[in-house]
Amino acid sequence: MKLKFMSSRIGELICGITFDPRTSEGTIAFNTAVVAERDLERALSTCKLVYAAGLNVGPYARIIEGGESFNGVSIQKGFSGILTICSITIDGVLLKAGIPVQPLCGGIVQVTEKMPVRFTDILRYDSTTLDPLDVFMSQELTSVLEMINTGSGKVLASVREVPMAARTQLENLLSDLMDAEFKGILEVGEPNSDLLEMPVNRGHIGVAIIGGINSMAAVKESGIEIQTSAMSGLADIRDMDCNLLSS
Amino acid sequence: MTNIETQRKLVEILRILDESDEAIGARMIAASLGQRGYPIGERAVRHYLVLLDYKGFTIKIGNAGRIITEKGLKELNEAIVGDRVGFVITRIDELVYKTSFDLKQRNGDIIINVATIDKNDFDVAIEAAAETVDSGYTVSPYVRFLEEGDKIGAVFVPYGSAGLVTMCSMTVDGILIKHGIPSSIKYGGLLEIQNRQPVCYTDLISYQGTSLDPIQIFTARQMTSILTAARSGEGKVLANVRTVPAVAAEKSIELLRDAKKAGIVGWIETPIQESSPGICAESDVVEINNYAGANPMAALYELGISVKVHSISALMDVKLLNQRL
Repeated sequence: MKLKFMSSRIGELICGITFDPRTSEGTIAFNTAVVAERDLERALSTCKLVYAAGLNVGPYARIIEGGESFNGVSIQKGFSGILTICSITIDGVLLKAGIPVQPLCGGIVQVTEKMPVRFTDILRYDSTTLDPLDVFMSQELTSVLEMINTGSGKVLASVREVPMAARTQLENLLSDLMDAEFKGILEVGEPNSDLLEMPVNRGHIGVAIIGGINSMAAVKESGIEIQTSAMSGLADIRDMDCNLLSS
Repeated sequence: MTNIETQRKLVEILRILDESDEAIGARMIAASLGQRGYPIGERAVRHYLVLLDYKGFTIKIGNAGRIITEKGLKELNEAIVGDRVGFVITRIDELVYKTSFDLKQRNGDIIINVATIDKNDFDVAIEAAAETVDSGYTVSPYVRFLEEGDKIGAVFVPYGSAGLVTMCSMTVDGILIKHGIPSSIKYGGLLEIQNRQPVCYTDLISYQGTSLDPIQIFTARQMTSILTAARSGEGKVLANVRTVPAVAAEKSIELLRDAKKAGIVGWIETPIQESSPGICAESDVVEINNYAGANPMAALYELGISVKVHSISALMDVKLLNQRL
């Protein structure tokens, strides 16, 4: 078995992303969460809460019943799978537009009174074979529900950098994404400046995006057993339900 | 928003207060700051302390000086992520540098891991830890027990708990470096054991790219099966990888053999299957694999025992590790 670092896994996934925010068509990357069938309703209502608070990549989601499979993800009987959009989809969109985007790391962002303040922990993609956001979630370092209730807490986000020359195009694409209901953009940095106290390379702009896995972190915080695997596969956006989280 | 230079000094002051057992004043803080590469006068320190008091991070105790508050501790754990990324490696480098273990005399300071365990579970815990040690997935069979209220480095053994100290595998890096071999710590990983033989890594995290300790990540995610590995010879244990220049391979092996004779037994002699091209991507270096000293602690998680592992936490005189598990 060959070990694969997250950076190479992202590289492979990103090539398959064809989502076009203007037409809302194409393939996206998704995260998978598995909960016991009896917990599904409760878990979903938490996911809706998180989506309503804007702590999600987009409104698209899909439920996989126990015993079924979907694009390489199989769910055992007695369990249910919840698929949400992975923030790597946004990197794919930037890449398809010709921007050399470099996904850097996943981390925990401290939010105080609804404003993102700083990263308190990060794990670089080229340093790990485990997904950073999965790692942080299982370390119980998040407080997504608290953030929703009080406006202050710790949420999961990922960081990528793009050359500062691509700034205008970046801003246009991000605004297209917002129009397509992809509202998870947390912070776009200034060139050559730290992004939420995280250093960015010279000549680059850092972009922080809310992790699609926040809803799962919230489910875990609410005391429900949940297994997650971020960046678990690719799917056509037509196979995802765009009303599941907003209903 | 204070600038980054000031912020670093403020955080360093908090760290000094945290590491001290008692309230300390501006003069001692200024002296400690000087040792840590921040030459600041006593008067400036007083100014910073007023700022920290104002933020609620420190509090004045009569004339004795200041102590850190709960809020200050929280700040210390969260502040300046840019400085803390790779913080694990900075801490390792510092401890490795300070190691003074002498292979011939078998004395000096080594690096330790500390685990705090609920007192009620302590007997069961020690039994399981001993089982892990017997199977060889550790650095040294010698440990030390701590009582509630003891403090080592930044680790405090809470009331109702007891502590277990084991030798950390980074001690080996200290030995190599003291003999002029530039050992470079790369990864913490999950090592698969089959038929009691280490086979390959199934997951790796680099010490350079994380603000959390890789060994702690694997432990808290309960990805290990150390007890099964100890009992049946099949399972996953914690290990780490460093590289040394190929020209120093022979001398390194000699030192590692001497270390084994001196009771530091964590070195994995069998080569690990080339599981990732990434590990040894550099040419002219060779890998050295070591079982993690935290294995006996991580094994306790598998039993459902409530335990907190602080790996690579401090230095200790090797003589103090005098209990054999």
